[in-house]
Amino acid sequence: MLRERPAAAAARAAAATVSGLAVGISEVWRRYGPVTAVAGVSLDVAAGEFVSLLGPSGSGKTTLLMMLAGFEQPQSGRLTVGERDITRVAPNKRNVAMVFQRYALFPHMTVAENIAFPLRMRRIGRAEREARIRRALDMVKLEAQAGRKPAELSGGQQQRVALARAIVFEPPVILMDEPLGALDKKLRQHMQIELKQLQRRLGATVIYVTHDQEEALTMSDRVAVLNHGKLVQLGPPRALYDQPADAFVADFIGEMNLLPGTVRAMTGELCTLAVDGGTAVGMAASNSDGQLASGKPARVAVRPEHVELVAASGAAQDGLPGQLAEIVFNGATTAMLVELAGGTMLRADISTRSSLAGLHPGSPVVASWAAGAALVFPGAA
Amino acid sequence: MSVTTVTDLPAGPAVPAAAPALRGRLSLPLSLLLVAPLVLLLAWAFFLPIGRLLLTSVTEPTLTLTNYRRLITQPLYAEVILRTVWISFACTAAALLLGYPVAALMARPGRVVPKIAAVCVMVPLWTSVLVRSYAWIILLDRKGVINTLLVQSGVIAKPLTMLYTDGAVLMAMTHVLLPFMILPIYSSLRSLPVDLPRAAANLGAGRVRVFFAVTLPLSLPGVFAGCLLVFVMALGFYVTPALLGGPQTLMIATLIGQQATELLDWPFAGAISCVLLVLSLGMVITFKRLLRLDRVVAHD
Repeated sequence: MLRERPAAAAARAAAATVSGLAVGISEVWRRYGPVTAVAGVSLDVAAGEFVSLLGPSGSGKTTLLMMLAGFEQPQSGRLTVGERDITRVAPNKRNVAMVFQRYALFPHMTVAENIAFPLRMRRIGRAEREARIRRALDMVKLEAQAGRKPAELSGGQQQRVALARAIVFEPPVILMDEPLGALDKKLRQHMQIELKQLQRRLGATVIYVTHDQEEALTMSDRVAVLNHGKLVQLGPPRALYDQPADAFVADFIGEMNLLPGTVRAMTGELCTLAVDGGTAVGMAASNSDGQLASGKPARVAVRPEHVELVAASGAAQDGLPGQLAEIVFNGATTAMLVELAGGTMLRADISTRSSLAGLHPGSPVVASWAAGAALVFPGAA
Repeated sequence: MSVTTVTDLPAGPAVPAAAPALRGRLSLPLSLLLVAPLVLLLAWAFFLPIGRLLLTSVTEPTLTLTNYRRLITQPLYAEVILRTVWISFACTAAALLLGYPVAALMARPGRVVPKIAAVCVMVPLWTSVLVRSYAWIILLDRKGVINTLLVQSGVIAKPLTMLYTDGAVLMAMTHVLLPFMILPIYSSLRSLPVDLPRAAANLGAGRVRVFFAVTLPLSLPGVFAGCLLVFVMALGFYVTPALLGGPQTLMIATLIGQQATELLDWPFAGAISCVLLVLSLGMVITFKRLLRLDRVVAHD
């Protein structure tokens, strides 16, 4: 498991007045009857850090967030904010803001009243309150909408109000539950950048739940990948992408070819496999110790951008022989879908500029890659 | 009774409700054809007799306003009308105070408790009003359950007079009308997204403030609907006041019944009915005008 502290956090600490506090999750368990939602998760988030909880539905990421907000109780384990143990603290006394997936704006209050709510609860005087509301509205660029009701706003505007309401009381920690999930793709990408900039400026710690791996990679200092209630891997986006801890992470983060095969030979960390009538190579995954031996089932994981294709020449070639099945133009890259001899599909992303002239659907090709670009995980699918 | 669950709620204004699209499904002639049986039944069995009854109040024995003059000049009738309004009002208030917590209990997440609460509300609704009113007689009678218990345990020496009082009528009417308060409130509480009280708590509101700042205001449409329903039904309530009220606790409906069936003074019964009708309609219209229900809350 990777546990690097991003240097960015330290740099930011110098730039902004960090109001963020560290968040500690240690050995937290939550079961619902026979279902274990969160199984002994431990995770330390540094002050001012942006950490995403990434996983498919049912992975426990939302339950974990709800426990941090106080809407769910862990059955065992400990939650801390700064030095304070909040495991049994009531939700309203945690001083941890939450941005809900569906914004949860109060429909009977105007935008300004919504934003004033946390300030009123903290008995902040009128003058100070109004100054802060103005500042928050200014931050999310909604000054003109202060007097409107949430129902009169667009989805993106509602999202900003929810954000303004969450930051107006200057919480040290902000929890976000897929806050961009209801927006369309273009607006979502725009808001991702805005959110990230806002977080930098505020210096608050953000814990962000999402099932969208692209979103997690774009915004986070570190990403915690969850599956079946367990923390599978924690690390900076680049580390997750380049060094997935297991086949699940490899498959979940980014595009990945996962080809089942049988180990043929091990030379140190270099593994040679028989895959679909051809030969594939890759480096043994770091936690595969000893499980990769000649004759054992394994899967080789290789990113589409690392796959090289050449037209089959008839002579014996190293690699995986197959037939080009489909050519999908994606703009900067072109996806070549290859049907290997055994029927497995393999994707290769080729730069559109390096035209592979002469290749068309049906052409026999051979796919290969540098051994260092692929990882081998033990076990069958 | 439409019960909207949380999951039915659209995410925001960007997602239009499905209702307008459905509204246009039936063609106008077909719609008219479908409501025709009900309209005919109501016209023949309801509007016609009511109209004739109201008409007799000004036409018999000749074209006259005597019946209405009698209502105004004789203090007894003004008293009955005032008592009816006051009992209806008190009944509404009592039903609201008792019903809101029950509705809140029914709307709680979970399975067992809300189901039990719902059964407790619905089963009496399926029991005849007559049976429920008689049940109160058994409880409140001089030789009834409560008096027997109190006398035997030595708390009081002589049995209390509980039956045939305003209190008895009020209590029994509240009991009978309670479901009509609970169900609309329950419906509006159920349609309240769980995220809203949670957001309020997250932003620093304790339980009491979550209730008064978010839950209560957003359930007001249900509260108003329940109050209106209970108040208007109470105004015209017959069985319970007739059974549990003495001569001292005459209410409008009982008075109409007396005039029509015992004294056979149909024109005067018509006049009182007219007053009741005007009172009820007046209440409905005032309520709608004053509160502008649709503007108070637009959370879906």
